[in-house]
Amino acid sequence: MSGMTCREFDEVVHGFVRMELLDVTLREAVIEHAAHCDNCAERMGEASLLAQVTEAAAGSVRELRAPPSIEAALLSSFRNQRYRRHRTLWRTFEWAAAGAAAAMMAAVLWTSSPHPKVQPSPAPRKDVSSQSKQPLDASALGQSQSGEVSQGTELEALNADSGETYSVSDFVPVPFTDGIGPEDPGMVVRVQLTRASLAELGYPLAEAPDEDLIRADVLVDQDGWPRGVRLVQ
Amino acid sequence: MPDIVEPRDIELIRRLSTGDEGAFLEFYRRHQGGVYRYAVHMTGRPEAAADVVQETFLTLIRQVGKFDEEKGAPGAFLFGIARNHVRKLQEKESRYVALGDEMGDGPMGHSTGGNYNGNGRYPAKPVDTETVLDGLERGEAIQRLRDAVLTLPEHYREPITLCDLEGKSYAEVSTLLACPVGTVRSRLNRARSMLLEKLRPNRAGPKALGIRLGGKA
Repeated sequence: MSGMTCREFDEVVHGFVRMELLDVTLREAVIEHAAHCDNCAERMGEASLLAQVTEAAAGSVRELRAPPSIEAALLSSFRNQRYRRHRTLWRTFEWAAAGAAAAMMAAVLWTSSPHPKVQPSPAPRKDVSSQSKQPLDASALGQSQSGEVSQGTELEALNADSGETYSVSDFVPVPFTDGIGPEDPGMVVRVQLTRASLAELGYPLAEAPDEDLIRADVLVDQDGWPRGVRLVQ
Repeated sequence: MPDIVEPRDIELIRRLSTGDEGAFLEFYRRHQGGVYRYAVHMTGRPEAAADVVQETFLTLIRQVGKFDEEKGAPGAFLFGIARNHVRKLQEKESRYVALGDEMGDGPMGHSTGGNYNGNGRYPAKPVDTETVLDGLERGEAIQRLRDAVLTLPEHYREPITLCDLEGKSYAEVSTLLACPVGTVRSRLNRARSMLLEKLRPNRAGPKALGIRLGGKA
């Protein structure tokens, strides 16, 4: 009789009948034990039958599949989910675009607001020595589109930065340019110009002071082109 | 003629995550049978198994972004989802089976959801396997086995289902259940012994497993 106990037999009998137990020595020990132990022999028969029934049960469901209706339902869900994802992406893009538009709008408003800021003068005016700018009612230029200088309408203003008081004349339009429309916020850049530059902008030199550098306001449209000029005294 | 190579699961999952409908369909058709059979074996009810399949793949659609290639194969990921849904279902249904147990239905009783053949809840398929069983006896034996499997604790039912009924290797089951191969082997052996005990009407009776024991009876 082999040295295998019934307990040890129990541990390997299922593997034995299913041919999972490959150790030849162990297989021989199982056979020898069953030959001398009726209970274990019966157990081996039951284990063998269980293996057959299990195999039959596995075979009976091997081709089992989920109902076809599930595939259709899942496909619909998949499409919905994909649509939702795309919609979410688009919504994100739309929000980003709206944010960018709002930022641009804010920048435009800020630019046209009365905050003093440094703004480069138009490219051809290289003789500008200093600048400042202030808002201007664009209609001021439209009123002086006739090309004549309105000498009697000088305004007095207070420079908030320096505290000095100065007077300005009406804008004289730059020759061969259109005036600024009411929808164009326009921009006034304070500069110091040579007499030659002032003449180039179409300002009548006879009205200008006899100085090397003359303080003036240049009215610039949204595209950066000068549309008018006035003296600051 | 060039061989047609089926895309691997990992490629399907990648395409699926980008909204590729074809990839989803292929992945579904490749895996739905396994998920369905696992759920049938674990719940004992085809309609519950169908729910598990649906919920499993819905979860996959919604959470495919959570799949991590480093952590395992897509099949294991899917099985993990299915396993969770089976557990949820069983937890939910366990509230309703207590009354049946009190009324004296044994482990083979209908209250455990094991009545597959009486009302057609478990679709029967022709069996090709050569066995000593035939006709009604074979059908009854299979039915009793299924009922007995359903009475096993979950950690014994899973290895029986995956190894013996689904034909997966110990290594595969070890991956799916996230436990060592040795644990799978010992649980499986224990589960088979428990099944033998459950299928024996009376220990000394001539009809072990509740059916004729062939030439040994």
